[in-house]
Amino acid sequence: MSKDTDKTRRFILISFWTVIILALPLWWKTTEIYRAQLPFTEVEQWSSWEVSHLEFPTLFTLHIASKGQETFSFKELTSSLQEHLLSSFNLTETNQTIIKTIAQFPVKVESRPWQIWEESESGNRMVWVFMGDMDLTNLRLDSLTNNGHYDIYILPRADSNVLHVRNNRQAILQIATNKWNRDVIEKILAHLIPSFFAEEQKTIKQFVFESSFEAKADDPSSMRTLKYSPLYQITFSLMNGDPSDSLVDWEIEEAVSTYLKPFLDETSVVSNFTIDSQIQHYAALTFEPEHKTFNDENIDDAANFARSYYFLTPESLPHFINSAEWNLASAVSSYPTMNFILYVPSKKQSPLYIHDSKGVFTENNAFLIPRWGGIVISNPDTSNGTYKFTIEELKPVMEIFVSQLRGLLGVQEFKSALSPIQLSEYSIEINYASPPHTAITLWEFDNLVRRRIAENIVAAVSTLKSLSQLVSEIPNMVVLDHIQIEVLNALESLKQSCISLREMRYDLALDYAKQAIMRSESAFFDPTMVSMLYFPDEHKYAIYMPLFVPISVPLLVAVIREVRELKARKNVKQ
Amino acid sequence: MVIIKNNLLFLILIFGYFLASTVVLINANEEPEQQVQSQQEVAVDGFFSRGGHTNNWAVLVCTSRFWFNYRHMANTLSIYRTVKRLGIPDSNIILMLADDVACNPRNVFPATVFNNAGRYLDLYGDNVEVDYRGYEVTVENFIRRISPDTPRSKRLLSDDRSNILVYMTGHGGNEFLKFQDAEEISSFDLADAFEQMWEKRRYNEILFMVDTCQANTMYSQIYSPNILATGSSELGENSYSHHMDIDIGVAVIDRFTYYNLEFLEKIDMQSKSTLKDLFESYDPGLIHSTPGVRSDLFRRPLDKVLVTDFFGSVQNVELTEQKYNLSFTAATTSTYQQDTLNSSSSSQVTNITID
Repeated sequence: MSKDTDKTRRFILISFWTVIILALPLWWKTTEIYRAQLPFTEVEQWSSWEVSHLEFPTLFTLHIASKGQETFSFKELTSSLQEHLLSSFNLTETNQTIIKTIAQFPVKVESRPWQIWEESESGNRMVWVFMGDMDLTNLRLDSLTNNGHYDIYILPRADSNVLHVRNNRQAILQIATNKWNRDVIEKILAHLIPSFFAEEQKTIKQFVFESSFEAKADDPSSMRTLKYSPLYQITFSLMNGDPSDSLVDWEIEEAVSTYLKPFLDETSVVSNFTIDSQIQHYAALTFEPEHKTFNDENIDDAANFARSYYFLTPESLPHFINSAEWNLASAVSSYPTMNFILYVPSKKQSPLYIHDSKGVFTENNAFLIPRWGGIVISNPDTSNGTYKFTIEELKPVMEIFVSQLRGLLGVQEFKSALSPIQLSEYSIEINYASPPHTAITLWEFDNLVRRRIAENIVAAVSTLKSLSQLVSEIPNMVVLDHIQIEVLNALESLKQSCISLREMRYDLALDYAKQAIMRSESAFFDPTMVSMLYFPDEHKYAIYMPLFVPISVPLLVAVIREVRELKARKNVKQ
Repeated sequence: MVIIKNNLLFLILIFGYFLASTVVLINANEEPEQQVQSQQEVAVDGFFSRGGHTNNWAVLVCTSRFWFNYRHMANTLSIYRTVKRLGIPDSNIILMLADDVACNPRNVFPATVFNNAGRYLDLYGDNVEVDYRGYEVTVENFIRRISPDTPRSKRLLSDDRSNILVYMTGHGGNEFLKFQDAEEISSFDLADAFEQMWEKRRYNEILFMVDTCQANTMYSQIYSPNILATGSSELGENSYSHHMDIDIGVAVIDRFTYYNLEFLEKIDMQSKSTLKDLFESYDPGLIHSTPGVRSDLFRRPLDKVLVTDFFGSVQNVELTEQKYNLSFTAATTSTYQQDTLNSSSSSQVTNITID
């Protein structure tokens, strides 16, 4: 063996190995699962609410009727009322103490004198003359406050205590003149104000509680309300049982723009809506409604027949929607859909009514399917073959739809929050302004905004937490750069939202909260975020063995032989 | 290395098993309390609510191609027909069929699919909405299901109140199910997919049903809560077809699905049959394999779970007692604000004296 061939052989061997060794990092790099660095610790801090907590501040301005000098110390009233409200707003049940630190409700109370009085002399006694309508529901008061800032006007009244709740952020409290002192006013306000906000605060605490303890509430309102979405699709359907009896039509476009548009415009700050409508014929029921006949002997058969009717029981209502036949699914958008159905039964099933569980007629002849929509059954007189629901006739129907829509969107009925209260010593009568044409009062609107902020922040945090948990749980999942960017953006929006909340800028907080939820969801539901790379070890061996075993055997053998030869040569030299 | 790893895994598994069994024991002690709670639930929700779900979804998958797999298509379409009959709308059903046997040239009854040699019922009759067909049936589409660039009807838009039925049939083996002839889904992928759904609260409860060889291995890796799983056969067992149709020339239905259907055919929307009844109806002698049920992740007792909670779509309802009083007539839309403005001018003097 010549030295030359030795050299060449070694050169070949080394070059092979160099290629392999150089290729190793390349192989490592190319088979690696790409994972952008996610801010795990920050997400963890958020989900344990270490970074920030939710603060829902409220400010009450008391406008106390006065002339010139104060009849009692306003300052004392405001400070003690503030203290009182603070403690009752932040009251938590014993098992929820942790929530106290997460969701806080700071309160500020300020007062200013309210000059609506004129002085007039009548004998030696001074008389205050109240300028304006005693019917306070129509009294005009400036309303320039934002969400979270409420004006309470307090003035004396001849006999009893009355609270007027207006549709904007105002309330007028009238105190009987013989009780016009600090103590009474404070007691009444300290009792009334928390009850306005109790329900809302309960829900907000519930959101936080659910997310931290994974407890799921089974109460009807949480089942009824749709999950937040930036856009909802509303579909109005007129279902005609049998068009061979009669053809029906409706002025839905006008009705929607008249009755519903103000409400939708008002709430569009929270979510947007698209609306469509349809008329469907041959919308038969899947089952026969029960028939009620009368056999009153005092009247003749025809009258008995005229009194007979068909009815649905609560047990049969769940099967009312004939989803196999009725084409209610919309392919227009992938946003959540709310369906509102006006059902006109066929002639042989009319009139059709709904009984409640006690077998009594329901007044509205309507029912609601949680998170789905509402149904109203109408029995129009279709004797002449066609029927058109005019805009006036649609009013009661739309009123029911609006009520159902409010339920589905999670608008809390403000009136039910307060029933006339009997305080131990004082009775207070509560009057509400007639409902506004927007179908949502500012009190209710503020409440909705605050709850949606809380819901979105909590949902965004838990989405991010789920995402980071998922990424750490499933090592085979690819995490691309844009996911990282989305997560960082979502965290930033969360931060901004919490800051705006603290500053009582609810509109801004809502915007940021919406951004946070959208960004975190788009990161979570990104099409690339799927674990589909699980290969069992056997598969990996099966891939690599046929290729690498045949190559590695001669290479290894060559190395061993070379080393042996070198050793042997060393021995020979020695 | 591998051996050490496997041993470790084994140890962890054993440890996990012990943990699980202690948890089960603890749970068993707590049962009376749970019952009280469920009774309370009923009292609170009245006649409106059952089971805590408000909507139902079904994902029905036939993963195999070719004419001789006719029965897999028939299996899936039979379940499709059943869930539709029990009220799940097409918009809530994701139907994936890997082949179109109805239009196969070898089909002597073109445009039909039968699940019985008697040919009583054409499963392909009318109103069948196949969401993913042919080569669209891939592991990726099955796992994603929610990718944003597909139309609404093809997406699983479930929420935290959704009960989902996932039915799969095809050719499988130990911890995998073959998709077409090209790829396969492993039980690990499936478990991760469920976990992803759980993390985002995309379901309330899932019933996972699989009819394939060694089907019970498919659900062995699932670790997310509220999932109930059932399969046609144990590890090492094959799943067999029930019978063939001489004219069609191939087997028309699998045994496990056949006996499921036999039970489900007796169910209607109002039925009070429970899943316990369904599972107890499984007869290994008839099915020719050992069907399995995995309920350790599931919270409700099986005798409280109605079959229609998964196979049907029974909605909760709430009677609307209220009506929102819209305070204006159609003609006078904008009077409200005018009212408030006008009234302030009409002043009326009232005297109140304060001492």
